[in-house]
Amino acid sequence: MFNYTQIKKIALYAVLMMLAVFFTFPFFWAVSTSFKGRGENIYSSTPQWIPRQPTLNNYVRLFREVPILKYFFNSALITAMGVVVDVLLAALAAYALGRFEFWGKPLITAVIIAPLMIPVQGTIVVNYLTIKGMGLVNTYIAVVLPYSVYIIGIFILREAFAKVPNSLEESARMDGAGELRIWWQIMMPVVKPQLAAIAILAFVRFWNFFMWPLIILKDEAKYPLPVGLTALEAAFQQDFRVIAAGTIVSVIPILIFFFFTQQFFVEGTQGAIKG
Amino acid sequence: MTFWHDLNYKRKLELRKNAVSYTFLLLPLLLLAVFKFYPIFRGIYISFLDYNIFKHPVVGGIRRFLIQFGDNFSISKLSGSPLLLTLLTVTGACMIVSLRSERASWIVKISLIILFAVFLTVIAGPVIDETMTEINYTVRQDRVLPQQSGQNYANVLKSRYEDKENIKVYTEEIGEDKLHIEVVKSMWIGTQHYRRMFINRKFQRFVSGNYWYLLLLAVVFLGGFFLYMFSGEEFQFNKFSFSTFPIKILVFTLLAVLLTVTWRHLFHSEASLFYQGMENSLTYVLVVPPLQIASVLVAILVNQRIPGVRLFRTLFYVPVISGVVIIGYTWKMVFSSTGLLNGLLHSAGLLASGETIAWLGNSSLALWVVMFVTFWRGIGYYMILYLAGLQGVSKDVIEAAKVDGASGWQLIRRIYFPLLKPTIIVCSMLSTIAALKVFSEIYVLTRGAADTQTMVYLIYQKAFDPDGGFHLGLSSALAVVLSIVIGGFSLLLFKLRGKEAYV
Repeated sequence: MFNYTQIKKIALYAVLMMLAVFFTFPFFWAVSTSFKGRGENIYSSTPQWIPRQPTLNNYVRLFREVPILKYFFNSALITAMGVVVDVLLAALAAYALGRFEFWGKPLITAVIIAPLMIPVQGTIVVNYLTIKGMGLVNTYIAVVLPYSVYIIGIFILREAFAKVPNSLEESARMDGAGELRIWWQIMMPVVKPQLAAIAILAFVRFWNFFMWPLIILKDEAKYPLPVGLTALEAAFQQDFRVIAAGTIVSVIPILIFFFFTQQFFVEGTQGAIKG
Repeated sequence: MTFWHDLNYKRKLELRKNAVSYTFLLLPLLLLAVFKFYPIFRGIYISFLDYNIFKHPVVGGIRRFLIQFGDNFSISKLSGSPLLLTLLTVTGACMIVSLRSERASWIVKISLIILFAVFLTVIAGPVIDETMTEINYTVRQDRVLPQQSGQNYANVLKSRYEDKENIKVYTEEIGEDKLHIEVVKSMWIGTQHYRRMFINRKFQRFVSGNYWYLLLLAVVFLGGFFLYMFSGEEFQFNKFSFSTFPIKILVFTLLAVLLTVTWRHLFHSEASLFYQGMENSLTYVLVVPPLQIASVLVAILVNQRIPGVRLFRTLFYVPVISGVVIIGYTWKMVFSSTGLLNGLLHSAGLLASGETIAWLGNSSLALWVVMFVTFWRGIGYYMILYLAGLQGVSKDVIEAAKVDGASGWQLIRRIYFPLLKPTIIVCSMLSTIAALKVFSEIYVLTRGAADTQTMVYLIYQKAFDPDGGFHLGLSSALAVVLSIVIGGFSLLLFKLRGKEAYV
């Protein structure tokens, strides 16, 4: 009936399907829980995957009783700020490192690489005090500021800048363009793909940001989504229906984003190891 | 300007180039200096301090006594009453008369003085109340007040501690009309934090007890592992056979789990918080990274050229992209005592009805659950990294092996694993570093309860958690130890792979 290779293929698909279930069932369970009605018991000795009395009540409660849209807006704002600052600063530093020979270049390169070895968690206490000294606690800027230099981004961009042909720069210089203008108008458009890759990596970095905003933001109205979810848990006291709804609502934007930028992710992540 | 004119063209160009480069680098370098390098030095300094919310010596005074009359007893309420004013006047008059008279006994005199003092204190209620509340605010520190009164209060505090260098008053605006006030005091205490971390009852028992074999075992076995891992091509040290690589990893994983279980079982009850944090981090490092090597198998699976494989890759990558907090909550719904897992166990008849397992509340289970979530979340990420490594494996080699009749397992054991060894080493280092940095899972799943606090969680908890008490000095000490460990691993990774390991 089946030959050997066909059996092997079926077995392969079976294993893949099992893995797929393993990687996604918590999400499906969350979806199922979020549609369960108030009368329905979340817990039963035979788990109900399909709600018996499906209802949107939990979502309505979520949007009515929790400033989830505000959290979403905060997340968007912090992410936008973070991405812009990350990309711009990385481009500035990378341009200098990639295009110029200057005194102390090896030292500066080492100085920029070194912080990769210092864990973020080792610096939060002092960074908190620094931010406090600046009087910036509980502001959006404070969330972004300590993470504004994206070191991996600098090195991705450095390679890109170094590969830009010299003739481009020289002709611009002939036309009398200043350094800043060359950087912004000539160089930046050439490295657009790398800029996009860094922007995407930075997007994920800031969108899923948790520990630092949790520490630095004291006002609930300024929480981004992940921190907001913990506030949601506190507000609903283990009512998993609403928490599930909140989880689903906050995972959707990133999934949509991922759907459109998939290829960049794979390349960006692999870039982290291949160089 | 003469200086500029005297220079020849080449020199000018060079100077200009330098100026331009450093201008471009200025802002990034400044930010790095402030938020990356400065924290190292300040952190080390703070770790020798008792840097803490200032506990004011409480001049409890009369309020302490009055509070015993009832919860709603308020001095300011009393002070307005005419009865008290009359009493004060009468007692005062009596006191003056008795003090002047020769006949009154000293007992009467003293009791009248005391009575007058008490009434006077009570009558001066509003004033005292303010000072008292001040003291109370200082004690309770993390204080949120309305904007205006908070500002006044902060000013009072600031002027009070003006001449004291080690006491600082911080105010932060929160929300529309709220002010957060903190008074922080720092005091040099030397290496006390470090001593508290490393030397404690558990350590002493370990030293005095007959547990040296455990340490010996750990050293031999970890040393052997690292020797093995870093031998091979990189060091021209080809003593070990490549084909046994996966088996060694398997044995290592088993041993690691065994060792951790024994260790935790033997010393479970006597741990101080700090020691527990380090131990939990160590458990994490011993268990998660070796398990994470399983991602190779997933990568090999999705490296096949079959229709629909991209969809599977995407599905496996979804946990990576969703963010730790969301992952944490979805798994919390599975592992909570009224969650999916207990339900499944019930329906499979593995758990008697009415019985539940507190996966996240039981101190011998919770850490393993959290580690599982970290492992599950990491598979997709490392799968992608291994896929990149697999691109480098030449198809001819695989084909040749297949032609020679290698079975699937043989293929994995003798071809994939040896060829992927460099990637495996780098990924193991990355996941070791990641395991040391774990925070969000623990925060979401257990909040550090049930014996799950790792080093990073303790850093957070001691410094910033409302229950932790704002122990910035202690937290810094923990951070210094953690940074040294992580820095060591990073340096090793760096030496091993050069900077392309990151870039």
